[in-house]
Amino acid sequence: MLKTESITLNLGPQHPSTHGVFRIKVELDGEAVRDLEPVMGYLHRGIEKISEDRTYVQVVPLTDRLDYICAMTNNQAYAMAVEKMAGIKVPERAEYIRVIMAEFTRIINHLLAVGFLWNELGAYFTPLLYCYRERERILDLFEKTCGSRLTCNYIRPGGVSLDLPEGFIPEAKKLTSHLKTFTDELNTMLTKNEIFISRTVDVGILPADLAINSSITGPMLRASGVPYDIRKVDNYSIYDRFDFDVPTCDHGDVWDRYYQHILEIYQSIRILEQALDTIPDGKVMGRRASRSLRRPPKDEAYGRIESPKGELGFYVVGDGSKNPYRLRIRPPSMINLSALKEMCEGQKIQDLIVILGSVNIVLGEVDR
Amino acid sequence: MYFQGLAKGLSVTLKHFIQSYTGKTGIEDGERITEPSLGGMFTVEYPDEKLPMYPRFRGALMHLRDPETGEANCTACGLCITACPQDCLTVEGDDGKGKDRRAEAFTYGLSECIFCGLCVEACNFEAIEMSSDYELSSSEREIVWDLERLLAQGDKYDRRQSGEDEEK
Repeated sequence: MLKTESITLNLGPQHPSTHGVFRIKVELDGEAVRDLEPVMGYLHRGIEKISEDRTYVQVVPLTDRLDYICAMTNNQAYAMAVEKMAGIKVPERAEYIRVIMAEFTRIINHLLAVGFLWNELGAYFTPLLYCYRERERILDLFEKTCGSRLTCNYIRPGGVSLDLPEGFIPEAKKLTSHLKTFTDELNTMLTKNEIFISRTVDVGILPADLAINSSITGPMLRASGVPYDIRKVDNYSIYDRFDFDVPTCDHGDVWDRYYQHILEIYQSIRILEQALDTIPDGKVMGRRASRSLRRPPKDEAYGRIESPKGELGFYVVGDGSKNPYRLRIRPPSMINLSALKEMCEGQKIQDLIVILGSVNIVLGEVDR
Repeated sequence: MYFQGLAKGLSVTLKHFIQSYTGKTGIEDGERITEPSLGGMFTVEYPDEKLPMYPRFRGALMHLRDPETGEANCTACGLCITACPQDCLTVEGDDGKGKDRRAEAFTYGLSECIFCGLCVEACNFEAIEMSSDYELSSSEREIVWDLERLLAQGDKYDRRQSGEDEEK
């Protein structure tokens, strides 16, 4: 009888396919994963604590640095929590701008999720750079609107900081129809690829009941067949005015999680088309916003949105002073990682990388 | 056929390879091409070519002058200092009162600045703006800029003089 023993392998923290500084302690039996333990905290910056001695507006640049791919949706979630706490009304045009920016951000995130997944499968940079090119065009629009590409600092409690620049709407319309063409092309190029299918179908299956019990949200949950989308459930902002579907896949493997992203890009494009057609004129900042933030009430509120990665929530506790007494962030990336062990057990080590890629984490948000 | 999907995918790649020589994208005559297209060379060969910055771009801070007197607009009111989340600004005013007050000294910690633009939004006197300067590395130790340096930055990047001013 051959005597064998399992080995413990540290994947990361400086591993290129862990999307940043993330360590997985894997126990291996040959090539098969027997046990695994995610280790996080390498990018911890104490954002929740720093927020406590900044004013409500000064926290907005910090939220840019959570999920640095989707700064706009982070801003929006924080702004919604503060608005709920201080009772600030948002003008209609600002709501439309928020929806437009959030959906563009969703497209960016989903394109990168697809691109990085393919990178980890060994399609060295070709699909990723196509996705990056389209992201660049969206970032150009962001830069034109708010002055910065990644750390937008645009959506504020009470509205948005600046009105849309001249020529934004026609340019965005052109880009939206272009993105539709591009997504079609991406779909043709990637979805039915046999090598891709053999690497991803039946890999890392996440059953719906486990997904719900692990409190997983976003595209990952919907890929497991649960049609739960906070845009539909809460109808926050003005999402009840737009006609869009919540697509789902049914199997919950890596391929489904990939295809879920493609399907959601199409829905975002649908929302964008409607929002860009119907955006009204008007103010973009609530009249009483800055005054109510100078004397905010002693209250607390939880604001949540469907960020591209799942439910992003901010819990703000105010004690009547200019600073939040406590700010708690519910990061979707981190909670989506909680089922990683169950998904990877019994799989091969090369599939572990693919499964981690399909979870689509951003470490800035995992560690905060 | 088994490799149909793969062949289809590679045909897209081939199409892009050909289109990258026929299509048009990136920059032309110093202007960004805003028309999105799938072809063309998207890469901009920085530092030989540079993208023009949008008017709202948030680069290093600059101080603006009054066009008539040539003095700094800053009245040392201190609004930007309270707005800054990083505490990277300081100001000292002279003995004047109200609008006649002028800034005597102003420091800007470039290495601490996160380019959020909150100071510019707080300013009521059009005294500070974000310039479009993003090439901020230096071989000298100038990580804290004084008023003189900020005004020089303003002279170089003030958009009002070049006629590209944009209403707020």
